[in-house]
Amino acid sequence: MSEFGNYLLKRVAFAILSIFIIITFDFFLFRLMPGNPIEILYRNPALTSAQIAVLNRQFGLNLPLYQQYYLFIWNSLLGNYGISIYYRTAVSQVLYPSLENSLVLLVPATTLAILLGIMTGRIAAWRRGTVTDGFLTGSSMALYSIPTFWLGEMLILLAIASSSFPVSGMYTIGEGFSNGFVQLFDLLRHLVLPLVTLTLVLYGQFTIIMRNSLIDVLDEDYISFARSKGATERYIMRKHAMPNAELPMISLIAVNLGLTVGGAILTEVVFNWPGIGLLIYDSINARDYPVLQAAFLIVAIAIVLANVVADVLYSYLDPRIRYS
Amino acid sequence: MQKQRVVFRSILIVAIMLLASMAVIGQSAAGSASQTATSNATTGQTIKVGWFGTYIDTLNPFLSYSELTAWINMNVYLPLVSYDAGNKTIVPALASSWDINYANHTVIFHLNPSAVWSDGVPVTSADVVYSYNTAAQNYSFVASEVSAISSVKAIGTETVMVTFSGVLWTMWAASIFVVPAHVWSTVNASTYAGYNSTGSQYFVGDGPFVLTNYVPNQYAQIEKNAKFFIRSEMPTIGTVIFEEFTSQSSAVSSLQAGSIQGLTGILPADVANFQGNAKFNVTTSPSIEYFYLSINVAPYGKGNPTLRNLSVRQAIAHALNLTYIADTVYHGYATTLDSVLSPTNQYYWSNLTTYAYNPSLANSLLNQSGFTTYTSGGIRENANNTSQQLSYTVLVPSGDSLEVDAANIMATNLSKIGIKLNVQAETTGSMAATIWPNLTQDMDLWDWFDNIQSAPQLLSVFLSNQVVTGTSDSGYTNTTYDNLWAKLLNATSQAQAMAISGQMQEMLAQQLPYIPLFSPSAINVYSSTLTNISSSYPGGPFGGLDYQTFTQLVVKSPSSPPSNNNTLYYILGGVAVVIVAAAAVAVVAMRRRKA
Amino acid sequence: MTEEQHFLKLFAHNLKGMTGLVIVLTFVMMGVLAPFVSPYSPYATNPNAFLLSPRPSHPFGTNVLGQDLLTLDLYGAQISLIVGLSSAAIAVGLGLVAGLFSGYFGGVVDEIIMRIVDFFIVIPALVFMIIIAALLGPSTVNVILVIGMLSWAPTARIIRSMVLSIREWPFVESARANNAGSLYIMFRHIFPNVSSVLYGNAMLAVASAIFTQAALVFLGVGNVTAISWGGIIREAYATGALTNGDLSYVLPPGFFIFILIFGFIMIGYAIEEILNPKLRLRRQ
Repeated sequence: MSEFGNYLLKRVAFAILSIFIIITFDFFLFRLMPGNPIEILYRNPALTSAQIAVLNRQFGLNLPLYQQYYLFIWNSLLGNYGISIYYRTAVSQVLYPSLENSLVLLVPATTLAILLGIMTGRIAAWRRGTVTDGFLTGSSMALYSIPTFWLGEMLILLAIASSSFPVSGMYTIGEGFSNGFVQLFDLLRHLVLPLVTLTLVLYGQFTIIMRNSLIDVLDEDYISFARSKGATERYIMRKHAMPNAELPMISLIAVNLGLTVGGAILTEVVFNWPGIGLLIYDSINARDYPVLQAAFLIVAIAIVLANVVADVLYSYLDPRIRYS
Repeated sequence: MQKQRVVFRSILIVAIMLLASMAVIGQSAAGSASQTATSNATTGQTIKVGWFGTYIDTLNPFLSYSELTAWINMNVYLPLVSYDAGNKTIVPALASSWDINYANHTVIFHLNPSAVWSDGVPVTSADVVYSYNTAAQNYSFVASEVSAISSVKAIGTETVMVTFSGVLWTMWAASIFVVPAHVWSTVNASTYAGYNSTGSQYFVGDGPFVLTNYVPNQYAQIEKNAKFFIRSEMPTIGTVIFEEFTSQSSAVSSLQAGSIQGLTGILPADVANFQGNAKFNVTTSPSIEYFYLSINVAPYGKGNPTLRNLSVRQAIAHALNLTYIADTVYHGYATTLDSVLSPTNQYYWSNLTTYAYNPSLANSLLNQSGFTTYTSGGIRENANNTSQQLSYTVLVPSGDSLEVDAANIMATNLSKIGIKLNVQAETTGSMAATIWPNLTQDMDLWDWFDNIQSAPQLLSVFLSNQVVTGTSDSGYTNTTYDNLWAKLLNATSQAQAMAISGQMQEMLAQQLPYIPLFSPSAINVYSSTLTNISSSYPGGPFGGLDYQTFTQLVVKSPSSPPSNNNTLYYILGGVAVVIVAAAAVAVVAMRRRKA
Repeated sequence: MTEEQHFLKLFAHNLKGMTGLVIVLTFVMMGVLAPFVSPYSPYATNPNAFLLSPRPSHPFGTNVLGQDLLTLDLYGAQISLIVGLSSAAIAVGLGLVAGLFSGYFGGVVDEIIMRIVDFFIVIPALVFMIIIAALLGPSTVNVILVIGMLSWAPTARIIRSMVLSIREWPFVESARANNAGSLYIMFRHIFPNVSSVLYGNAMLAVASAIFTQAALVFLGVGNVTAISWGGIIREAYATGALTNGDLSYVLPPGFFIFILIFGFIMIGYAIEEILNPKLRLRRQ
């Protein structure tokens, strides 16, 4: 167990180092962006130098770089992300609602994609070499190849033509909902298209991951042993293969979170979903450094932590792993 | 193996619980938003209008840079005076009358005695003094508009005397909103968001509407102000919701689906969708936006030096087929321009030097300037100095695909006279970084919003000192021009100011730091249930300068009340619950049997 | 060389691989031949023929500027292939070098390189690319560099794990005993043994680069002035063709991206299948 303790310690130390690197990186990346954000945002024929100086002071852009850096690290650790240049309010006030909205889309989409991926991956592995396997693997690769934004647009075209589902936003704005149930229903209606888009593009890769890790397991000696003892394929699948194949899924899912976030940005932009991806997209155009910095930081740290948790969980559960 | 199984299952269960809780959070977020929405909405009909591209930055009129904020604020605050529908005549707003004394440089405003804030407090001269002082602060984005004012004094509770220079007094009197001092003096105006999200007074204004809800990046909602003191302009509708969209695509599809009823800024390509459809009206309004090609003429600029040659600029102006570009890119929904002020601006001067499309004239201008030989790539070069080649890069905002398209056609136009134009589409931030502070670009194709139509404000872009603050993208410096601007600010009559600004426009037309391109029409589409909408104000009824859109608007036939089909929702929801429950029971039962 | 012939034979019998190869070659032909077979110039605008529906003279119709969409779709293959192949070359090259050094030297070098790899695998690449692309400016070369520099980590990780076992092989040991230089051993002895995996990986890298390029253009941070499939989709989205329901405008470019990516993935997967016998189909 002390070996595991060491491993744990090492992973946590790495996470802290990674987060520090991310913060540093985040800081300098945005200082390198061309264009003074003040200048472009207030491209106003009437702005005087005195006014620009006031703004620079307000956003802390007049301090020496090392001081800005020091303040940035300190404030990031405290969860204080500064004032949004565009919205002129605390970044957290803009960021947290977006984050929440993103989760409403991301969590169901990822969960659904994983569940479906496990199901079809299992069938494909079980029937490997058959037409079923060929079809499932082929269609998974096809889904994996579809450009997210294009799939979204195709669905929008369909939805407009059939006037079936709302194609934009998260709920019907300004509607006086008579009760919470109707309101939830409204949210779900808006969720359908983005959810389908995101689930479909994520689903393919999970099927392939599941299939391949199951096939790896099925060739292990203990499976052949069980088979030679006369156990049915179904029994082997359920009792031996699945539990061992599900394990690597945990860390692979964590590693793929970065991709998931990328898919979410494109989906949110296409469907006007007020999440963090849309916020990032808008903030690039508005050159809103503080919001971009905070969004990048939160997303990156969340993924680093998820990976550490997955790694630790994986090594804790798998007796075969060596803590090297 | 049991350990893994349990953990994996519990992860799935946690994920599903998270999923459920997210749905609830989303629902409650929507819930808190709509709570206020239903509170007062019983007093009249609700209409929803759309906006796309930029969001509300802040609702504080002294800090906002967003046009959407300006549009919303003109419904909730009053300036001292306004313009009538023709955009030429000054009419009363908060001030019911005024006395101008040009000799003393003063104007005395008599406030409407019945003017009252939405919380019942009377509007007094103290509010005016407070607002004008706030507008003059360094953090204020309207400071330049009040720069001509030397003092604002209350001479009675309903009388204010303003001392100012020049004749451009309507520039500030019609654009500075008067805010309630009794609310604003308790907050820090340099960071105030324009409303209190907590407390009993969510928002206090004196306009025909009052803000009742605002969710950043999603929507803002205003409702009829029952205490509005100009009874004759009391709105007939109850609520207006301004919905924000990222792209024009999502805004247009919402309009088609009927979830919003009005939108300005439809692209020409979309007009066909709505024309001939009885459910919609399509109108056009003059735009306050105009596009220009800026040429780097700064004496110390680091762009291609051949652009400082006036003949080259004239040749470029003659080689651009602006009518063709307007027809191709805007499908005819744009007018070509000749001045740096938009034609709707009151100071627009019409008798200017123009450059008709004439490639052969352009060619001969280049020949006369000595650019007679060509590189192997067919680019003209100076016969005496072959390092001087007529090859340029034009920066264009990548966010506006129409501007990129226009630049691409210009490149084709210029290639006919031996000029090579590389189109470089970038984010506006990258453009700004290339242009300021060192002026390293050759040209840029960009736009201005001429939203103070009562003043030749945009002429100040060409002042020498603008290079420092980063708005002069041509780097034009000319002391004669600077002196004319000083004279304009101190003009003693409207006619004199007009003449000076005309002279300045002619200087720019001759020296071509900018080649004015076109002003796209504002295309408005709105539901045919909305009547009494005027399209004469620049910028159109939904987002332009028309502060009367929502006070005059009448909804023809009551829009069908939201379908009270709760039973249907209950049935659908119930069916879903039953299916999920049945599936869960089946799974559990099967597990039991196997085990 | 028989090993390679054996590989080619297996590949020729692999349905997935051959399908992929045919798809990719078709698109290569399309890109190369575009200037010769296109009915119009891709830059020719026509204010009197905008947003036409499909018809014999314009099989896919025209765009908002009156340009022929079939022509644009044909030319679009060029930039997708150029960006896809070049950035994959950069990514795989960087990944190979990092993986070889990391696996061969081990110790501190390995630790440092692998931590960097962990960092690059974990960060949300698209967010990062959007920001960097906006930082560098949107030329095609920059887009290639951005994609290449940010996608080398998975290759490095795979190569390293292979090198770890190969460096213990007898012939490497004997080369080391003969005082051969590290670089010599790495590229002369180890590289040939990892190169096959590299090919499979490279195909996947091309696929993801093509996707990323289109996504960046769609988001407006790529090179929006060059003719590309992502650009046509973006234009359709931004100028109202999408809400018009112009299928012939939006459908073909996205479909081409999809099929081309699919082709590369099939090739990559086929190579992986041939090299990893576990994944090879068992005929029962």
